[in-house]
Amino acid sequence: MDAESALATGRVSAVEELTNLPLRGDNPHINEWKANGGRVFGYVCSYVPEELVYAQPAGMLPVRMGAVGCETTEDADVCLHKSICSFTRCLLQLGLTGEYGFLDGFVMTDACDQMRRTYEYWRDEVGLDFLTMVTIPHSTEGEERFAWYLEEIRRLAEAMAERYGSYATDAQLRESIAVYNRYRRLMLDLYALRAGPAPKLSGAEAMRIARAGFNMPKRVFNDRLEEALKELAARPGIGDYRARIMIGGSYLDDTFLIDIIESTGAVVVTDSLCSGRKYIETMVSEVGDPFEAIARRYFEHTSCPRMIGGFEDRLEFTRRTAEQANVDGIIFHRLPFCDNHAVENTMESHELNKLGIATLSLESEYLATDEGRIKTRVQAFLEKLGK
Amino acid sequence: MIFAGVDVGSMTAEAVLMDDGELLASTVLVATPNPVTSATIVLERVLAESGLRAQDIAYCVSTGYGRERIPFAQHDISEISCHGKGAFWADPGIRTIIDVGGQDCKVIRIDASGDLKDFVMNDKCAAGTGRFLEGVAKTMAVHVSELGPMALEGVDPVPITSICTVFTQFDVMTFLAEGRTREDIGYGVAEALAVRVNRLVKRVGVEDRVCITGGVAKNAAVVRATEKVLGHQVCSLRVDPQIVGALGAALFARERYAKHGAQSRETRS
Amino acid sequence: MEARQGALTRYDHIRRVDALCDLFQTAIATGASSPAELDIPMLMGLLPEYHASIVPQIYPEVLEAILKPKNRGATLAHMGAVKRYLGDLCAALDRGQPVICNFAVTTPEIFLAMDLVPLCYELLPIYLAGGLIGGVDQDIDLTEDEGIPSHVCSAQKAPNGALMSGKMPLPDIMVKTTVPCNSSNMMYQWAQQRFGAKVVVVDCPYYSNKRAFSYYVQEWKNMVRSIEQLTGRKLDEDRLRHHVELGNEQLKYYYGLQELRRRLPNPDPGMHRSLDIAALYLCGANQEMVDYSKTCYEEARARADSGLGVIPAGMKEIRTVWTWGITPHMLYLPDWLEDRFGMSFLECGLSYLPSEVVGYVDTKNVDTMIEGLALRAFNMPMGRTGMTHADLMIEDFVKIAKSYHADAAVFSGHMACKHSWAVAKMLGDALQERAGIPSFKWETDLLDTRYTPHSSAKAQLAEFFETLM
Repeated sequence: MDAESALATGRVSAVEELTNLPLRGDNPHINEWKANGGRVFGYVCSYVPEELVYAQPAGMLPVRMGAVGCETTEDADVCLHKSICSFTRCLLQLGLTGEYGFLDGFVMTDACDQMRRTYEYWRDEVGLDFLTMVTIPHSTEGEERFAWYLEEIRRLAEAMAERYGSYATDAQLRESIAVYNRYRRLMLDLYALRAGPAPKLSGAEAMRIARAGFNMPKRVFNDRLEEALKELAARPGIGDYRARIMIGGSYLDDTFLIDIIESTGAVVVTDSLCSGRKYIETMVSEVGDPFEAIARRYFEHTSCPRMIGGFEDRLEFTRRTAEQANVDGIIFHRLPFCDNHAVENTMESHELNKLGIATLSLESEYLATDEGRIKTRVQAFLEKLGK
Repeated sequence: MIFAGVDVGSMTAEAVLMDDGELLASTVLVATPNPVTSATIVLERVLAESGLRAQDIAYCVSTGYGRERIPFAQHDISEISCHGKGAFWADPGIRTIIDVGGQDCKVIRIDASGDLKDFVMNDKCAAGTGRFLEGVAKTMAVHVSELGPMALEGVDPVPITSICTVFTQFDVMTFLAEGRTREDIGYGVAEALAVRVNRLVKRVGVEDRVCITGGVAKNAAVVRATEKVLGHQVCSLRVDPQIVGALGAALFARERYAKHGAQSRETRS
Repeated sequence: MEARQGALTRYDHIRRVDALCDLFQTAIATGASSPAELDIPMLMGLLPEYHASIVPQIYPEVLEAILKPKNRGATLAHMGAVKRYLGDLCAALDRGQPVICNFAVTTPEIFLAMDLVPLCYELLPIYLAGGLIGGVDQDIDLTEDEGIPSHVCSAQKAPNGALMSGKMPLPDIMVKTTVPCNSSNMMYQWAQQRFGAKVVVVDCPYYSNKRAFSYYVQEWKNMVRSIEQLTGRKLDEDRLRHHVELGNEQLKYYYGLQELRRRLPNPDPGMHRSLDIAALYLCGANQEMVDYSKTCYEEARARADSGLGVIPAGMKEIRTVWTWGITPHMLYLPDWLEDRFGMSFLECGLSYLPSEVVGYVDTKNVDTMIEGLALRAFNMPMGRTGMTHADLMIEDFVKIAKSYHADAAVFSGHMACKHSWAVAKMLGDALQERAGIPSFKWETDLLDTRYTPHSSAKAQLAEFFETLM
């Protein structure tokens, strides 16, 4: 249907454009941004306050880095031992081979042991114009901890000001906040289209759209997403699916797992990923000091498992999300050596099973080559659910 | 009415024919690298043995590695459900099935109706699988089928504690060099495998009766060691443990035929 | 005495470590200098049934090591100190005091001053893994059976398994410094879910600078306040001072020993590193721990004054810095390498405490004591380099390699320790380029003997040291 309407109107539908956005050096939005004199900053962790970067008058575009399309880790393996998670190694590989050459900077965090320890390799072996770290306390309890985080992002702003002579005013910060809040609301609308009995899009399409959101100026993306939402709403929806599945676990920006799940006839309708729903929930307050409002939102949004004391909230997030999307079961995925999600998945499963919510725990590499193994488990899980 | 089940694994392929509720014929052969070829050959073989033709099959279900690609099967079901189904047919008292396959080890729990209740599979590591025994057999220069009878003759099992298959082979070489008997080494290896299997069993729990399926079930030393480590009796089934997956598939074929009638392969799964 | 028997017999891990101490002390007391001289059946006849049942589980290599004249004194003193610690622990348990599990970076002084039972729950498994064959493998399995994967650190899997099976007392509170890793942080969260103990977080900021330290001091003050609120107990200044003074005294010998290890030849036996690290985790606990450190120092001092080393006479000394740390389940390994290859153990990632940075805790008042303890924790092994840029760890080791005159480095990488493994290459390169020494990296697990069997570990290390002989 989308292809037909594209033919009729002579232009590509928004859904198609977003689900097929070329990545990295081939991304037209990034290239255009740079051609117009803008700078591009990468980040991975959902604790990096993007609004702050985006608000800079010097034209700074934050893009969330992924490693989709990475085929080998042979160069990264020289630096990193095999007990470092494969996503981290894939990302460094792309850095080492120049795939991220378009980046002006990289804003890292200390959220996980594996990613934080690649800082030195990015600094010494890749070499970027701007590399810094935003460090995060391991608990959100107590004002002193928030103060540390606030100070960290002030330092980020100061470092950017020092390097690029760019310092966002409160008005510019507010504008940036408004763009990002709109982005979050639109993305929540996208999730809503998947929550009904006939989901309007597959989980794979949803992830591809989310990925486009990571890699486009949010203003441009918002407009395209708004159009895409209209196109999707007009679809009849997927009716003959086998089961409704939610996914959770380690960072995921590649559709391989969703593709396997959906190849069994199930449909992925929601998630608790930090690259998914956790990333878009929670608005930034539009009243009060904008700088502090940004810091609050990032510090206090549903936490990463590395935050001690946040388990109850994370569990509630999963439970509520599962309920809202009326899922039949949850598939937790972890990358080998990802301690945060390995233990978190076990803890959440333990509690969710007590509530009668079925879970399956899977492990697979970022460059998964073992589709058969995973599919057998997924299929058996669906059979266990009586689906 | 004839129903077929085909199970293509990484090391062997099996086919079962059933005439309504009765087991008619079964065949096991060494798998080829191509699952479709394996499935085709094993089905041809079992048909030939029973004097039947492909057209006589009312419904066929495939399982195992490559189960979705078998062109003559109308449906595919995971080997986890199939092992549960097959074992339950062979003995309705079975509640826990341990399937030690070539590359995977699974523990399957079924309920009183034979339906899948829970399951767990090993992670990527080969420890606790048929591949592990093959590696050891190779190091000892014996055929894998000789390992079981040999190990039963052992009196003092060598201690093998390493989690890694490569280190185990290293240990086996050391024991051989130290002059330990092959029987004792075989016994030790069987115990090591049982310990690994037991680790998986603990993840989902165990309920009597317990059976072992898959090729490794024919290794009497492994069965004995598993009973010892598990603290539960392992029941022997009235059918060849290696055909249980294919048997389950054939049983599913019958069920699906009753429910959906004959049909071509669905596009969905 | 009767009260002590209660907890001692109730918790098998306490009983086992206590028995292990008795066994080592008894064996040394016979005067035998090698296992061949020991009359084991006679020894077993002297011992209670429980003790005798443990004898066959002891690593023969450990027995061989502790009976050597160079290791006897320190072992004897250390075992005495451990018995004292366990005795105090049991007495407090039997009085019904709240149990606090303090992660190894936070030493016990503050908790003792609040009349709590400080149980460093990683430590008992370390002793058991060091002394007994496959000492805590089963405990690790118990935790893994709950769905915790193999790549999570065994330092927490083992004690959690012991808690599940009732071999250690359940904690009321767990104090977790957020160094060194995600793995340990996750397992404390898991323990909170599983056992209901409240986890008090001591957040360790990234970076090792003044701003980070002042934040960290505040974390310590908040930790004390949280525990006071949770237990209703107050920190007693005099008791705190008593334990802090003991700790200062203990560290005086610790620093002295570090100095002595810089001498040529190195006069300090390698097996003592494991004991020292354990002593560091129990810093300030009791007078006996001070006596242990003093024994180590004085024995090494006497050797140094006579120009003696610890390797066999006539052998070339291979002065080695262990850039990851010790491997607790191979307690005997340094001794084994010392006498076979002339390896002398200088310093390791779990023993390095920079005296010029840490110094002594000022006992003037509660604030100075908390601040001093925080400074020490900030620079404790795991604390200092676990949560900052890799540069600090690299600089430390280059400095150690130079000032201790190292000939070689060994990285006994614990497979679960991702943040160290990520640094291993940079560290090896820096040591080669800036200190001119080769690094040998091998993989092991901290406590799980099945990851790399001893036979394989020995073969790999023998090959490396043979090339340097």
